[in-house]
Amino acid sequence: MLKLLQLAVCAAASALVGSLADAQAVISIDPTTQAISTGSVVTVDVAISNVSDLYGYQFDLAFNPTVLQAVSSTEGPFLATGGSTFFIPGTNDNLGGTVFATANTLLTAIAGVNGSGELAVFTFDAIVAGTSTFAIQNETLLNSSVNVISDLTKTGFVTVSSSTVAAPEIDPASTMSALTLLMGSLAVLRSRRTNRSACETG
Amino acid sequence: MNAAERHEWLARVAARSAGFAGWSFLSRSILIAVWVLGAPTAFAQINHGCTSSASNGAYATTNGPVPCSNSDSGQFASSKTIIVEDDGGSFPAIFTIGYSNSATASSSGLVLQASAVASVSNSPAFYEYSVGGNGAQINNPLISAASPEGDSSWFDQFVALGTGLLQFQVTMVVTGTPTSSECVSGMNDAVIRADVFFDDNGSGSGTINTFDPDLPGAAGLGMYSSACSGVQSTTTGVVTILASQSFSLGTELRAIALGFAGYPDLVLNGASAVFVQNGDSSVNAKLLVYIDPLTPGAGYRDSSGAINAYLTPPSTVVVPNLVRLSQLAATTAIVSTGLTVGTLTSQSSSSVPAGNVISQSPAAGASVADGSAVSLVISSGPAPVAVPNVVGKLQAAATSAITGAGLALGTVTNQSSSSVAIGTVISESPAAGTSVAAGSAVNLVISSGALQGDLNGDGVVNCADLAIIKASFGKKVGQAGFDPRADVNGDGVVNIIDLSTEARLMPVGTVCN
Repeated sequence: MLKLLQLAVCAAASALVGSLADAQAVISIDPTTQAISTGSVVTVDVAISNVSDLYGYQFDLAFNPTVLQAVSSTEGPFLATGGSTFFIPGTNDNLGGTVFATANTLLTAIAGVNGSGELAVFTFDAIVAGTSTFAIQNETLLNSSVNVISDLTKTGFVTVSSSTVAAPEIDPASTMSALTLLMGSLAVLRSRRTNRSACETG
Repeated sequence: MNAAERHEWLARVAARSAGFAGWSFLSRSILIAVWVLGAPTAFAQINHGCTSSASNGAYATTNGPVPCSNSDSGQFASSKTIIVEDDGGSFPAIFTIGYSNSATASSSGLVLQASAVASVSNSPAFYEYSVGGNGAQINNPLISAASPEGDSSWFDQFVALGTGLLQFQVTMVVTGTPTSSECVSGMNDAVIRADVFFDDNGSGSGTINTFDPDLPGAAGLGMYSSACSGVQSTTTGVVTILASQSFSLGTELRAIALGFAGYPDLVLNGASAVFVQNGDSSVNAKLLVYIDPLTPGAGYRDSSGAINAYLTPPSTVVVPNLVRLSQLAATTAIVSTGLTVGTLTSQSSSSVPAGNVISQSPAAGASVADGSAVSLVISSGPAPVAVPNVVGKLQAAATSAITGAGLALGTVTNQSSSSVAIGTVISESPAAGTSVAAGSAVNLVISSGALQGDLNGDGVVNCADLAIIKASFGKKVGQAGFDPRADVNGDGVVNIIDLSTEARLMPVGTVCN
């Protein structure tokens, strides 16, 4: 019975997320989860999907500074498919755990780009074993009219261990943990601006 | 004629002068016409044979019963003709022309020309042309003697008081139908001689130049040609001598003698002399025409003659009006009028266009000697004006300052500026203080205010403006590093809205690294 409940909740949550993703641009971390060992370099892509007329974007990338140290950020290829760009890599705050104000914009009065692709690529050093969430914060997407595009964000995770381990898998024995994870994910799904998601309005 | 003959001849010339008063009268008459052509202002005088008074400034003559009624003198406003009739008495008739007073003689540029033409067949006709100063300078006005060939000749002596050019041209025309022998022998026997003694140093040992067809190798200044060769029934042949001698102040010209006789078909048709004063007003000229029946009984046939005396005042022209003409047109007019271009002076003028004549000297309408210089004052245009400093002034005030300085508003260009208020002059060209011609245009650059997107105020929108936003990106008002210029939308924070707003203003093709 409990398992059935878990499946129902997951199905409902997946359906809800899928519905929102169909209507809005989604900014996500790729890969969603990683497992590395200390001393390794973690590369995280911030990607976008389902976007229309994307002209510029800005976001902060939050991480656990006790586990990771931000090293660099570079421009992803997606926006440049529309033309020349002006990329601001952002400021690494390795005490507060934020790569602050990464931004990019197209140049000149042209249309934005459509579809999906990588916005930016971040590298971190894994300094201590532990877990870090990659959370996209304060994001703003703009279209070619310099109006805000509504979006959803998805968090990613990285587990740093003293030795290489496989990424954790959800098994029936940890159904409750998975449910908890799903609920946590839903908690960070946010609707923004006036055309917020149906989750918030409805 | 060799030297000995010449000396003998000169001696006879001197002897002839002693018997001058004993010449016989002739029954035939000779008409001698004298024309004096002079401009109304030319005061000339003609004295002829019967003039005996030296009061007119010319020298006196004592010979010749020419009717005194034919004397004439005064200011000739037009041509004068004097008819001298031979009353059957003795000739010669002597005419002098010259200026009656020094005032006239001092008129620079006067040219005195005289010529005489006589047609006296079978008779010696002699013409003496001499040059001297105001008559009294001629020591012995008339000395005549027979030439070696038995013809009359005259001797005169005077001292030139100026410089000039003395020219002789004697033409002997063969008329009738002389036989060949007559022609040849007559021409050979004829003496057309102009002995001129030039004594430049007054030593009395100057050069004697003789022109004589008989002596083609003799020293002379001229040339002659004989057209008599082979003539049987032709009517005309010419022997011409043209002599020219320049003389200078103090040159002593002693004698000129021309003549031939004994050949009835040969006529000494005329001679002429031109004396050009070269502007030396101290010299007068006189023309002596002496027609002497040396051989009484041979008689004159159709004796007639004429003396033409021309007193030509300096050629004058009226100065044309040159004011306001272009320099080229004015100088062209000057030259075409017979004047010369004098001093050209540049002067500014607000009324006369640059390059045109402001004034002239002498003034238009003035009568001046031919060749006189006419000076011009050429306009350099309006006087230079210093460009006023109008930078920082509003356009209207700047325009007033420019026009008030006598300048014109030129091109007005708008330029964005974040530092200069809209409507205010950013710069001017030419720069303030520059000296320019009045009426010149002054170009202005007016601020059109800040250019949208030109965050650094450099007049262009480019990557440098984006860099300003980048430097403050993510900053909020009050935070260190916040640059209000980067807050494009003024919401107190520099973010992607500011960046993309600025990015869209970038010119096409902008690439920022």
